[in-house]
Amino acid sequence: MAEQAGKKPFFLWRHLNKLRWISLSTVFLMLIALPYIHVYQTFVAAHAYDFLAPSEKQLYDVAEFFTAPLTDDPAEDLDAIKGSTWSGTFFGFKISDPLAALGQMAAAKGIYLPLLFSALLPIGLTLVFGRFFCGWICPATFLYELNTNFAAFLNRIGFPMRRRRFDRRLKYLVLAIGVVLAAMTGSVLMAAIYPPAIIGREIYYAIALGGFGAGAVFFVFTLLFDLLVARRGFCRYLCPGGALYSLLGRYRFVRIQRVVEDCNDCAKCNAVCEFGLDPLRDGFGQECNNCTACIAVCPTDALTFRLQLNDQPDQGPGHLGRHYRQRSETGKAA
Amino acid sequence: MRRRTLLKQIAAGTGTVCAASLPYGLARLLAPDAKAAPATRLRPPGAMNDDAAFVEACIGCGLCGEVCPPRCIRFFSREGGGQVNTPYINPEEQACTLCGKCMEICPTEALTEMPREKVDMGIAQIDRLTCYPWVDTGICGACVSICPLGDQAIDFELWNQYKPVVQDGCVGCGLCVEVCPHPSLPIRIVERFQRTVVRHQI
Repeated sequence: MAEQAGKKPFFLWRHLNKLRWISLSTVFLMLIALPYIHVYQTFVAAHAYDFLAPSEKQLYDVAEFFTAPLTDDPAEDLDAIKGSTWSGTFFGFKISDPLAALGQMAAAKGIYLPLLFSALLPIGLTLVFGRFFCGWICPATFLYELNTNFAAFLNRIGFPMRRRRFDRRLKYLVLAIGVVLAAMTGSVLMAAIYPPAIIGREIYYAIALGGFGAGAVFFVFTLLFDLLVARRGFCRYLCPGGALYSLLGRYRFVRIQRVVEDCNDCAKCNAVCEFGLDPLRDGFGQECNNCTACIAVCPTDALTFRLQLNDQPDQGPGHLGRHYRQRSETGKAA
Repeated sequence: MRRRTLLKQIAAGTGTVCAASLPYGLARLLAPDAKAAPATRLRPPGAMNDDAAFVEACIGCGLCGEVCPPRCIRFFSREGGGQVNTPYINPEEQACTLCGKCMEICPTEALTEMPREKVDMGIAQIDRLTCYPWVDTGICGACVSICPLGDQAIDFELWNQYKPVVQDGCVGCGLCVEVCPHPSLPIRIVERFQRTVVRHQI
């Protein structure tokens, strides 16, 4: 048997998963920090330091300590970064979720161009990177992945969690029904069942307005659904935003692919994949969110990024694995 | 018809009605009517006049509340029904200062930028049977001194410089409602067409 080792992928791809966790935590911490900054700004705008309660004074001092080196006018300048992943502003540049633009278009049955423009950057990135938002930015993903780890922990200590599988196309149905209902009722309903929008909103309500709103209960139910019924079930089967990104990322340019010469069929990639995809048999499809967890876990560095518009068809068993060796030996014997 | 049959039928009918009304009573007991949004809940400045169109345009991102310096913009929760997550201002708690940041930051056409004289959140209305200077029980002028638009919005009566009179330029920001010292709030924000009707919802 001729030993032919494939080309090893660029070594930094293995560490992208850490970068992804840094990105997820940064987004989540920003969502917690921004409401505090807003509260601090209201105190500054009211010139109210002397009238604050002791705990509010503490908040004021801490916020002042961090922002004083950056700005002399916190009430105005700290408005530069506001909002959540649903819709926000970043140094005067407005960015909105494509689902927000779609839902609003459906509800108003018309196009409002500024909102559509603010969704262009996410749409463009999704066309190139596919469903990357779900893996790299979404604040709900942060909690859902921790939830997955919690389920694994419960499994280990003897409380097996169910891992049912449903049809992944269910979420396209949710998206379609959401658009139709938004058009019928004239209200952007998706905002109420879309976890990242709920998370951003509820953290703001809880910190700045003194209590959770209507969405917190719903989000806890999705966590329980993921824990008790299906792993990452909401993202896989129900999320309307995930459905929209999957459709947009159908012909994405940046894809993870298996190098069949280096693969040893260990199937760790299938076990780690949050979305229940099949990297071992080259089954990535439009659902892959380029989260790179499979690249990080691969013991033989057999997964890498390729710039292609389509997945490769199934390349068969990995060349370092038992099946391939047996097949080639029997082929030699015959 | 025999008397016994009649009595039986009456008893059965009464029983049926009682049994049928039981779920309704239970439902009323368990879920009292959602508090209807009172007229004191205003939309933020720059909002579309048609409230249905406003709800269609709003994506519920909460950005208007997140830039509001007096933190006056609140959001409907479950009690808002179809208006859930859309913003409102209750001037009795905290009033708008017409700074215009929410109009700037709104990503949709729900709030559109306009000069603050063009804002239309409603109009202030003074109950002249309650207001301290109007019933000659004191001098006040708090509403006039707080008004961000000056004498084009609220001014004193010409012959008695303590009695406030709302002018046509009032945009209904509600700062006067916030500062009014009278416990029953003789000054309220009402719809523009209601301004001459002395009818407060207390």
